[in-house]
Amino acid sequence: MSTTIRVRTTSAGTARVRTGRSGRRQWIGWLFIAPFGIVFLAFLVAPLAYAFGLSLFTQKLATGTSFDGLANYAQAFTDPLFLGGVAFVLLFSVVLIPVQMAVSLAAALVLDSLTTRLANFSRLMIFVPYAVPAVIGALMWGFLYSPQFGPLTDLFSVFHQTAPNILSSRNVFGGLINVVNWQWAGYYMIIIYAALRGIDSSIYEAAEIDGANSWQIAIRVKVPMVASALVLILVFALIGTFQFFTEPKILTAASNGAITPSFTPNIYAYTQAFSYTQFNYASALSFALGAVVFIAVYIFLFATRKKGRIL
Amino acid sequence: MADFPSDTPQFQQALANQAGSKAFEYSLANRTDITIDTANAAWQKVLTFWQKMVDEKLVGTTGQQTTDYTAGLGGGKYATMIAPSWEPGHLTGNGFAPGKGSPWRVAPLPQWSAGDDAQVNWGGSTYTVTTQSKHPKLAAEVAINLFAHETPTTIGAHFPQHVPTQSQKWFAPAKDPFFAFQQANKEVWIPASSGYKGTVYSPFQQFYYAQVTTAMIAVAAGKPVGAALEKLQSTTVAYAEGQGFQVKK
Repeated sequence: MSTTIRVRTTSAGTARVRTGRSGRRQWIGWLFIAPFGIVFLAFLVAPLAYAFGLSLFTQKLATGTSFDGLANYAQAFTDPLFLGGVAFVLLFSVVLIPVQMAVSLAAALVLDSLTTRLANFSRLMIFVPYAVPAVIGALMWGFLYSPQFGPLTDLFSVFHQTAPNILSSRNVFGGLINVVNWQWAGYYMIIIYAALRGIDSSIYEAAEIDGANSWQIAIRVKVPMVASALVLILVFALIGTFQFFTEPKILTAASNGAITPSFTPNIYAYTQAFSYTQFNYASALSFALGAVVFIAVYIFLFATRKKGRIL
Repeated sequence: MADFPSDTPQFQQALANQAGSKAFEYSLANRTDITIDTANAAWQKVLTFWQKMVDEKLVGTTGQQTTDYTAGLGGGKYATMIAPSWEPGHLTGNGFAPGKGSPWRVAPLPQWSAGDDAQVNWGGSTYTVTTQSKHPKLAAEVAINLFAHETPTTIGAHFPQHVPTQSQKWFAPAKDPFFAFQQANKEVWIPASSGYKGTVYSPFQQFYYAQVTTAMIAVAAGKPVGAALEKLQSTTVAYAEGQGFQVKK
């Protein structure tokens, strides 16, 4: 009897110790993530909550501020200027992303098949524009596009032609496609290149034994094997283009009004907040844009779910 | 010869005002009522006139907020420039040397009919004390005292914001080095200042300027002036109504 009792006591004791220790362990876990948690709450969750709160009020110049629930959102999705901006970024993605993918994929495939020192140098050079801050890049292109200072005027005068004004309202679309492509193609090229380097070379050997030439290897073997990297790039590019801001904002001053204050949704939100002092509406626009991006990316990932392995 | 920009709505607005445009009627006594008439005959007259000159390539269509325009001014691309009195300050800051060799002279604003004296305001800046100030009265006094004692050397961007300065003895005969020592104050600026009757701006001027910019792009591209002005009117009215104003058209 005494033995049994002793055993019981021991097991009960052990159990108690275990609960105590694991409780403390949990507590310590929270302690470890506390610095991150505080920063996360203070600098991400709180501002978002504050902005969302702002977006529920309407502030009118004539009648002042009032709580109107989702009225700002209703306004945003019927505001022709906001919808025009959304349509612009959609069209911009449709044109930009295929161009960007083609350029970066081609560059990566070429560099992957070369092993000379020139290839290493070219890889660095193609990547360099990404290292240039977006603001500096946009300024630089602003000067290159300038009819007065840019090289286009000289180039066209050789053939006795007048250079087009790239920042006019008709040409600004193409001008921006070029700037963004220049900036990002190198970065995407590196992502694809890294994925290509990860492919086991015995696969190429097998393809060669099967009689595939290098063109066929590139199209039939390499491209499908880096498909997940391509999906990743697409998502990056899609999110980036929806938040298009820096380049058009910088080039606004040089565009003679062609880049309007509602050119992209982000510029429109910025204008509403800091030019028209409509902070509430600007918050609503930002959240509305967030919703549009989320839906677009979700649809996209859903459509490519079979190929996507990274996301 | 000159320039018709799309990015400087203040310029066209001033020209329209000179032709008699009264785009807005607004009074702080009745903050929720506004009258908007931006598709008026004066706007129509000014824009039709300038569009013809753009068509005939008599004037350029470079944006005036650009380095291209400033470089064009220096490079002799333009014979004239319609600008406010602070422009010399701006140009001097961009490296245009004042003095005997300066090619610039100033003349009064041309009028639509001989004998008229319609003077207008393109805008500029002013010093204000905002409501956040804990001591608005003291802050205003500091601002006044900073700018009340202007002399030929401390004068800011060319024309004094401080009206009493205009009546000081040295002011009228002063010779302006930017205009190769022309007596600009006496000949042009003082009559312009005294002939100015004031302008009514809207409470949402930034928004309005953006819409004027859009209209100017259309006009510079040769599109019908009437349609551009109708659109300017309708977007401005819609915005005002959205902001809770009772709009009279």
